[in-house]
Amino acid sequence: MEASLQVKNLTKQYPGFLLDHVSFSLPKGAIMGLIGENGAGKSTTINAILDLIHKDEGRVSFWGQELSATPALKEDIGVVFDGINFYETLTPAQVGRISAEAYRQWDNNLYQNYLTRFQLPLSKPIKSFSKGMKTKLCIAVALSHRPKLLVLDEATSGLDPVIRDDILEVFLDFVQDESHSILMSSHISTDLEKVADYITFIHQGKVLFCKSKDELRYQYGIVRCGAEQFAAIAPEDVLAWRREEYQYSVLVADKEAARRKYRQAVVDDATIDDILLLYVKGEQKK
Amino acid sequence: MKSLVLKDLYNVGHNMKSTLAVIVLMGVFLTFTTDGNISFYSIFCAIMFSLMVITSFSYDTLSNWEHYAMILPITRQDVVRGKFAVLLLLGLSGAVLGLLVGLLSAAIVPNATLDLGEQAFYMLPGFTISIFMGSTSIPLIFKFGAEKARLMLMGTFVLPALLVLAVVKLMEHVGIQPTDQMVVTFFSVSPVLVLVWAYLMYRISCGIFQKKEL
Repeated sequence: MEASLQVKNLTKQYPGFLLDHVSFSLPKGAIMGLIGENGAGKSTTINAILDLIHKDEGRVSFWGQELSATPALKEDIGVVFDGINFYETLTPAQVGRISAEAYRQWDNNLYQNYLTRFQLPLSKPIKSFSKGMKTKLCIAVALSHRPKLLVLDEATSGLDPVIRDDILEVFLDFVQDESHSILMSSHISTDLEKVADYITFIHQGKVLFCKSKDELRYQYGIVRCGAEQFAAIAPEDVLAWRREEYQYSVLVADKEAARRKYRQAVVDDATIDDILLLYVKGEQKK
Repeated sequence: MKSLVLKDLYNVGHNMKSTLAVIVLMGVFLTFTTDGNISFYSIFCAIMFSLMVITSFSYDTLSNWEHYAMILPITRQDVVRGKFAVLLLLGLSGAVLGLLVGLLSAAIVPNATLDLGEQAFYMLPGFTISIFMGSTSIPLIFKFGAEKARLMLMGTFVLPALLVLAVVKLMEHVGIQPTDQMVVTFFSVSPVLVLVWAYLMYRISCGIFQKKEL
């Protein structure tokens, strides 16, 4: 499968934090969710991918080319951060004119269409906008230079479910074109469950897994059991486990196999939140 | 780079009303206290305008602009170049505005002694001083940020004054009395000197910004 974005052994050392040989590949036409707890390394990964910070090691390529060697690639990459990066006395009309000067591919009609679709006034200063409106403006800007890849760093955080749903629809429209892809980091796992095709889980600076969402949803499971049954679970079946007040929760990679093997235990479906919690708060070795 | 200049002009333009108000008030005050001869007003205007480049950095910090700028299809060098372009534009505009207000002032005040040559000449030190101050400030702000660099920026305002004072004292010490001709010659070549200085500051800024983690 051809990749829009390939990250290999991306490493960045800060005092007290190491982004440790992060690797993953985002196929064309796919949405990849980047999840992990606060401080796990999601934003560092995105900043290093976008060349905003200097990487100590590793290679990042977009459609086979490195950004540092080909800055023109940025025409094809739309980025939305958490919060707006235009000074808030500016208006969407001025933001459009600034962006039009920056991008050769800028499509002003498309920008106007997004402003209309998102009900954003052209001449009001950004400071009068709600957080949702600001995010929508950022998305309008990011999409109006007709990128092939969208990179979203916590773009939907702090928004109400209705606005998030509007925005997720825009993202799903965007990937209707099979040459388009999205990399989105988010704390809101329900958003990723709605739209992502792949989930990359970063924990303490390392990639714990990069898997298709369907594999996680349909194959991963959580065994809920007592101490006796927990003792009987084979260590090789355990991805992560946690002792809770009245039971043990054990993450397994094949819930059907677990149901057959551990008949006394209850095996639930695992949500992305469940998986994240077990990895972050639980133990990984039995 | 044009987008960066446009962004800064929009940002400082929002603040322009208060800057213009100060400039107009100063102009009116000087007009009626100096019999319409406000030649040095160009210097004041150029400095006031060039200070807006520092303000533009504050706006960038508030909106985390540098982080965003590097996702645009531009290089880090373009970001630095944009700031210097804005500085030159503001310094020049300030000096020209000073000249125009000076002419207007001379036209308003009855019996004003208007010396067009002198009025125009004052644009040169105006441009030089404003570009010197602005271009010295830019690498400091790139290095330390708009807030941390504020104290150091005071130095860029005091430094040129001390430098001129030191040169005059030195000349007096060696028995050379500064003449009008010397001052005219110095200020005539000063725009060239300050552009060389600005280029040096530009190169230093590029080096600083290249290494900066955004």
